[in-house]
Amino acid sequence: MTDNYDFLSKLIKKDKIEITTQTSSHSNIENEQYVKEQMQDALFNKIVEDSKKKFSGVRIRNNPTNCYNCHGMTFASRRTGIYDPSEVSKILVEDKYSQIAIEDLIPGDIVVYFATNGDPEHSGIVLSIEKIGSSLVPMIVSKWGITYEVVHSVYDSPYEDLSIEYYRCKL
Amino acid sequence: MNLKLNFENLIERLSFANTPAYLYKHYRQDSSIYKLSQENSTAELIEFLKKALCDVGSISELATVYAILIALTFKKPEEVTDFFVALQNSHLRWADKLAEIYFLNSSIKSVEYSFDLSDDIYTYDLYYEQPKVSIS
Repeated sequence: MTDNYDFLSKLIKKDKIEITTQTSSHSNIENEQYVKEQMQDALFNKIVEDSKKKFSGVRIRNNPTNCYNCHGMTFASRRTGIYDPSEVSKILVEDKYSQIAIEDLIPGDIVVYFATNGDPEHSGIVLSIEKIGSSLVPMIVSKWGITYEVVHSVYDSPYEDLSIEYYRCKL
Repeated sequence: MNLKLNFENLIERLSFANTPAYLYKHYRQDSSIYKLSQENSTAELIEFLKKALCDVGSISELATVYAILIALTFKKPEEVTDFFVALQNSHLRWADKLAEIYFLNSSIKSVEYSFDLSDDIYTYDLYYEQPKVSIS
């Protein structure tokens, strides 16, 4: 095939920068901070409004932003986005996160949602642990993509069919 | 350009995507993207992409770009491998990661050899396959 795909680089302006972020072991963490304005439109606004109804038990903390994602909120103090699953895995190891059981959770621990292939697809910070009947239900704060930060039950989010694990930093 | 896509689902998935892997997985499961890939040739999809990239100012337009990219993942590897190699160097948000995921998910399905003994020429073709998706 002799096609010319120059248009892929010519038509698109770079809209991201990387900031210096490291693990406690001084390994650089690959990250992307988007500098372009949030690309909202009518359909995006409708979906945001619909999601508030769909997940009615949640509390929204801020306005939508694409400066950071869930992993950027959990692991990089909201300064940037971490999009590569292997970077999250690296942070868990190098920052000495240990997996803990739900019974041992305390506020400040983190939750990571893993896909079936082992990729961390979502993460958040534990705020409290509620007992509903005989079940423990962690309440967490997490960032939902390019929308907002949400306080929600660990089981109530758009990140379905994922395996949930809890971790504590033991640095 | 008026593509028949399920924009409500596509924008919802794009809005909630924390990683390119999430986007790739859910867009591959979207029936309107699969249909787009089946009803258009690789060349037509590339032309759609060129037009879509001229104006990416809203999230709907970005969702359209990603939908066309994912539609291309359903095409035969020999038709799109060069494209995904080029995509790795694009400035498009998440383009490099999506291309990486494409290659990670491609696996050699079979190897076909053909020999022309008279001229001592032989060629071989590699066939790749992306994981199957079920469309309801």
